[in-house]
Amino acid sequence: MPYIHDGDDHNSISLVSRKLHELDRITRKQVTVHVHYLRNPSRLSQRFPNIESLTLIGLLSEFYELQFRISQWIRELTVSFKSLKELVIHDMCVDDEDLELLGKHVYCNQLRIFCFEDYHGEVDIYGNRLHELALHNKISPCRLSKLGDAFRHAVNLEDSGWACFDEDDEYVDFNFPPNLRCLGLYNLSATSYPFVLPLVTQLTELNLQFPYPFDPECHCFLIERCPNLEVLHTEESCGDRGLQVIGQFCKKLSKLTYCGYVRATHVGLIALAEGCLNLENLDVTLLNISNEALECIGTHLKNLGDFRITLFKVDGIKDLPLDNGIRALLNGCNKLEKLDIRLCSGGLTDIGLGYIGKYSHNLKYLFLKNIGESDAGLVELSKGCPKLRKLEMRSCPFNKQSIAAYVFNIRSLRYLRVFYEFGDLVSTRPDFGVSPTV
Amino acid sequence: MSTSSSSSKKIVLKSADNETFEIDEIVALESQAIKNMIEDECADNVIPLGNIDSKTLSKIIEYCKKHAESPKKDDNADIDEKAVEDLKSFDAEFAKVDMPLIQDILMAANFLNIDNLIGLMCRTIADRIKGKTPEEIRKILNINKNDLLSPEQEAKAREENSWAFD
Repeated sequence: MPYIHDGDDHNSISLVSRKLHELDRITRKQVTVHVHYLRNPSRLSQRFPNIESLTLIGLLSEFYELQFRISQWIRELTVSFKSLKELVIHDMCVDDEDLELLGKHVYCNQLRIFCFEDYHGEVDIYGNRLHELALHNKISPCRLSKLGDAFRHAVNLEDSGWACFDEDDEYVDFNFPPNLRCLGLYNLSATSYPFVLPLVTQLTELNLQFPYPFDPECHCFLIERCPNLEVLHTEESCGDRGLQVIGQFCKKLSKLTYCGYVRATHVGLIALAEGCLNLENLDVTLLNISNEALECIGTHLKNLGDFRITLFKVDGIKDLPLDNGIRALLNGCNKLEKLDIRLCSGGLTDIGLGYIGKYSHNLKYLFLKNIGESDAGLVELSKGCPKLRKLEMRSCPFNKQSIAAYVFNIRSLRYLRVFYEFGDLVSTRPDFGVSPTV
Repeated sequence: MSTSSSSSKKIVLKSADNETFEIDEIVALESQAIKNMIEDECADNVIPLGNIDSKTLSKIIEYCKKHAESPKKDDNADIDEKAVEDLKSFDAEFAKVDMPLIQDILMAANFLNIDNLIGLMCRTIADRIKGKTPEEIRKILNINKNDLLSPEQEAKAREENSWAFD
């Protein structure tokens, strides 16, 4: 069982025999539950009593009747799951009473990570004593000058969370904790490099953000010196050069978010794909794109599981459509589970949509923007994608009725969301036997 | 089993079908269970392994020999990468046997307490059932019809699986 990681495999094993069903039942440590499809929380504790990590996913929606309150889940958690160490909640309503109940309960002493994600950010609470503090703090970056004292004592701290250097403050005698491996900096400027440079060879995670994304500084100097980075999030100003530097120096990189929308193009993307062969997670915003660059990703990034590409410009792109590029990418990246493509008009034809259907063997999530020409493309898409769970679309030229009629032909599909200017269409599987409520 | 020319101490193992295997002590030490016996000085005579047949036992000895010969990680921090690669490809070749034998080796490795081998066999089984349907897994593992879930239990599990996914 420790060698099985995929949820689908766990589910298959649970059906094989009585013995394996029981083994899976008592050894399953991590479960993700889509609460729309499970209205009775106690069924979860009956099936998987020993889980250590639980993720609850609601339905992000403006329609109140589709929103889920978490209260009944919290009540269940406090009585049934004695091994729970990690709780992650997506897209559900949480209020103070829920948190209070959770905080009061004895089992929550061992709750290590409580993470509530929404549009505004993320709260991590470590240990019982920090509950109150973290709940009442806003999650804006802290000024580092205020943390100097704390850092002197926190010699074992490995993740700094968010912080910023403030030009008005003095940094005499300031040092980062010596074991720091994950660093998030807001509005970093070259004058602060002396504090960061002692850390560069040990950093595995770096997150650089800026208040004015159109005018950030170039940090190639810094990135060149971080050979052990595994995760990098940056808003660069150096466009293709930034991507080339990352490809050349950050060989261990597995996750990259690169908003180089000022200048980055397919040229930089090719250099990146040829350099960072371990990338599993890639999110790029570009000014221009080509079929060749997508093919190059298919050739080199064999471990890519999550790919997101956003075109910042909507006209003047020469190498369209990208049908052949997307086919080569899907053919090469067999492990791809999440694909998010936001192109410009004419970026992908109905044929390209057909390719996505045909070659996406492991795709679970798909976001399309400005994709396709007509309902025929949608029909082709819905003939494939055998593992797709969730489909989201924006600015695609499909008839509203056709969408609902065709996409649920994909047997595995659970969620559909279509963004419109006036109200979104949110839909769940109409023929699903929703489990009875309590 | 061929005996090596070295004068090191020998251990004799006897399989369920009464075949004896003489091996170097260093090879036998790969098994935590035999190591304990040697330390308790209970390994001077033949060690009978009444639940392991000779086919399985010879495979296990092949594995232990190779691993005993290979340099250990903690002996030398920078052992050359070739040795690591070599051991990896040996393991990959070693695991290319049919499922009944893999299951026999796993049970025996568990009995003899050979951690690496238990891990290798579990990983092999896991790799073979990844991405497969329940029906395919039943075939691969040769599951007895009497051990299946009842249709009601299976329907319930299927329904539950449909809300527990990533």
